[in-house]
Amino acid sequence: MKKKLFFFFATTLAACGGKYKAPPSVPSIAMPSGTALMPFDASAPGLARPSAMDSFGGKVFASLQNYDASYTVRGPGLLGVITPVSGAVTVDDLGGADGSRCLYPFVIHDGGGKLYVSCTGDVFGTGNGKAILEVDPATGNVTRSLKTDAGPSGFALTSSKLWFGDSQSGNVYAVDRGSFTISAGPLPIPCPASGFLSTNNVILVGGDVYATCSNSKGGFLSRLDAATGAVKMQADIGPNAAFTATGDGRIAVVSGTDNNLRLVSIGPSALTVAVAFTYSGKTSVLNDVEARDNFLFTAASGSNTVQKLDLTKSGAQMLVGEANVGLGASPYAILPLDDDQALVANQGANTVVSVSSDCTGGKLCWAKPQ
Amino acid sequence: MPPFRAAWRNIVPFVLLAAPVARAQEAGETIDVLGERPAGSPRAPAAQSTVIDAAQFGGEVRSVSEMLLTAPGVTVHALGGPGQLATLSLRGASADQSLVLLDGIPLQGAGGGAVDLSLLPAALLERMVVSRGVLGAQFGAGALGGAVELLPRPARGEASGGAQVSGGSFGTAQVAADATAPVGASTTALVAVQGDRTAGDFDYARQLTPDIPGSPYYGYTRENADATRGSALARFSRQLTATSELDLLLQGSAAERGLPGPASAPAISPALPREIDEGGLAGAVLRGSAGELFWSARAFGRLDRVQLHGVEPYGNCQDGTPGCPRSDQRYTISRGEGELAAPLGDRQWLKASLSAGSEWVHGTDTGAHQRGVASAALSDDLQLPRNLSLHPALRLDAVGSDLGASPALTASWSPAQQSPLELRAGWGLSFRPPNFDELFLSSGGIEPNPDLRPERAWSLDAGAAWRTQRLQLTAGVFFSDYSQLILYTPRASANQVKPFNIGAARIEGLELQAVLSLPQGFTAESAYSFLHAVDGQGQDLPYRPPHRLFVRLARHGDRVEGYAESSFTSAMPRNSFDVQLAAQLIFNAGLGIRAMGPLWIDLEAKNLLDDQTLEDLFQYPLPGRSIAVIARARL
Repeated sequence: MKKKLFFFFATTLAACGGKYKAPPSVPSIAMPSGTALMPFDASAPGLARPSAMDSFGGKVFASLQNYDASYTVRGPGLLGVITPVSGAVTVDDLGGADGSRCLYPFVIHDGGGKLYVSCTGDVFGTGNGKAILEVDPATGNVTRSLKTDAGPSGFALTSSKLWFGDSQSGNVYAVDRGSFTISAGPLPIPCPASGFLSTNNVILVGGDVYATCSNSKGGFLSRLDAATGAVKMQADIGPNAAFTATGDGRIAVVSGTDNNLRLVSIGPSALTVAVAFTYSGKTSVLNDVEARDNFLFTAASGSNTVQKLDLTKSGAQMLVGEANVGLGASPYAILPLDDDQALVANQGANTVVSVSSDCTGGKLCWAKPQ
Repeated sequence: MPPFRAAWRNIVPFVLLAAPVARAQEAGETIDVLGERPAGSPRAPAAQSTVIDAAQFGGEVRSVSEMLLTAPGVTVHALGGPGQLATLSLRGASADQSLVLLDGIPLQGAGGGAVDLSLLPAALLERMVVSRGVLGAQFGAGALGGAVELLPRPARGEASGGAQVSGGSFGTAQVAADATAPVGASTTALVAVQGDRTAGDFDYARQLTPDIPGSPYYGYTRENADATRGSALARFSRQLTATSELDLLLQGSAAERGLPGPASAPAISPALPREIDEGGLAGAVLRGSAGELFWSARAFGRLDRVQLHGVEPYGNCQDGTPGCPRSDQRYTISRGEGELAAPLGDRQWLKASLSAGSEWVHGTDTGAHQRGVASAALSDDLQLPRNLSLHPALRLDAVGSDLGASPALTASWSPAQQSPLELRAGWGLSFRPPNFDELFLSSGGIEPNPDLRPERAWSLDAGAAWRTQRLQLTAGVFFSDYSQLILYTPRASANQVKPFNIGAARIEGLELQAVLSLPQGFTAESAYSFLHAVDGQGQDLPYRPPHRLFVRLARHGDRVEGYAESSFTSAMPRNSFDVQLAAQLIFNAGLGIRAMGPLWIDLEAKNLLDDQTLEDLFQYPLPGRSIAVIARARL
């Protein structure tokens, strides 16, 4: 779940000499429901289940997994197209002619003016719907698609390749961006010795590909050659890890199991891992971490909490603020819009809510340490 | 990855109750009488054990869980307040590895797994015997952490009866009554009933932003945590001839409760899931003697059923609305057993037993399955010179296609026949076959695994006891090694878990208990348990508290009674990576007077400090202070 700054915003900031401030979002945006989710059976619609988010062109795109309370996929994978300032939501259908081209969309990644969506497929049912889609964000149309045997998770885009991880094994694959066909893989990466293997995510940092393979027993971060996929370095980064590149050249990793935030420094010959912050024992199931300038934003679905941390500080001083998004909300992903305001995708509540320092009018805001 | 809300824990059925007879196997009532029997279970001589007499809690509202927690080596894993799911862990073993038997009959949930202690009627029990260690040779496959024998009130003696009524906080009330009477010249009958109800709407407090130091607690009231249960037990004991008797036992229960969910995602109206449990058992045992030969034959059958309404793995639904699931699972066992016991010379007592039967499961999420069960066991109580006793035992169990042997050897020694000092040691090896849920349950995020193999374990323990009329001290250490453990393993990228034989564990610990009789009817007792439990990678096993301490001072007299007690449970790992669940310190107290005749009136307060921040497993809140008034009489 990788987010980028818009070049426009960056240049604007440079010109103005200040930090970008996103316009305030609607406090809570309900995701589509019922027939808007295009259920296979009109009498049994699923729930939106917003998953990953990415921002592009002033809009926020959220993958809607469209399954019900028993994890049964009830409709095609969808993209929710959100206008945060108005709360307007439209839906793009990723399912194709038979509705099953993309099921259970997982990660959205923007690059080269396109959005790339991974669809991990209906793992409980038919197993169908595993795919990588290229989407035109302007029209919502799927411009290219690649059916996969693997269940793709995250992406790393180079000039010629689109690397992706398999959410159901410890392998990475490469897709040739020209032909949109698989050009390499499966290439194994270091993984825990036992348990289900999953390549949770893949990102690009400094020209190299970084991939995590983790489960409830442990996890590894691997640095891969972007041309060949060969493993160059690896580091132990804890169980059930989610990670992102920080603005200062490091990699931030949160563990959904050991409640640690680790910072990985990239050296010429090794990856150095240090525990930077340990969450409370009452914080549970850390799902997501995203970076924006000097700040990290994290989401913990088990405790319904999101956190903001300052990368320039250390230890407990890193915590800038925390918010509780509501009982049963189950925050799955977080997307910082600026250094203060973040959108949170709640899979339990099927909402996208805004968190900022603005507490007026009952808005959801950061509680700050005294 | 969305959080997996562990709905399978709700799906795990529970119910039980029932019990055949088997007075020959009640603690302290043995047919093998060589030498002085150590305190504990006759089925597991020289095992580390604790006997809990239910009568000592007269005038108190006690669940089976609460009584068991007074013994060392016991942990109860519960999902919140009264009437909610509670399972037993002995010596850090899982609930599935800790057998619970009612009058010798193994009790399980409706998927063949752990029994829910909250469904057991405490008022119908006379005492409990907690035996710890790998005791498959003594109790059958599955007793990897040990076994708890629940011994219901017996049907014998003169006409007598009693009743207890209580009411208190959170709409909690209980009624229990029992009566025993001779029926004709050679038959005695017992009938006992218990009814419980709680609204469960207690207040609790949570931090909404727990990472911020000193962040405030906010108050909530528990919803959909009500529970209602009715249980009945009947026993008949008939002397057939001068050397034989017949015991019959019938037991049944029905319960319904709301499933409130964890504090982080509570059930919210109108999607209020419910669980309905029903169970019944009938058993008969015929026993007698011929010369020096003692024999018994027993048959029993049990049916447990659990229904779940509106329960879904990720969010609940309103029962009765389209698409809202109802699951229904039934588990049935039937078995016949025969046992012979005879002396061999003047220093040995041999016992041999055979059993055979079948078990079935039929459920919405498991399908229909059946498997045969059979066992053959042989044990010897050998009295050697210098007050040394040896107790070798071997049991073969066949459960479906799984066949395993459980050997064991325990020993005890005293310096003299009447010496207060006793030393004991034991070794055991056994296995636990996978249960029907693990093999076949397919629901929501749970995948079945029909290829599972049995779990295996061995343990070694040693201890000492000092027993005088006024003072009983016991101390023991143990080491257990587990392999092929069945662990539900999640997929990292999908809401899915599947059981595999991938676990290993080493558990070592220390157990201490002291009971001191004081003047004026006072009794002081204390139990301490230390556990060090790690998995195959050396990481802590979750929800095993390293330290548990229970201290109690009670008085039972002719006119005034009362107690004060405290239990401390140290912080414990919430997972294998040292994320901690906070320590708990609870104080309870009660005071009662004999108001008139046999009528006692008691007042009891639990969690006196009114700590509303306590949480059980999986962020299930526990109640703050509760008050109960109890009236009881026994004739």
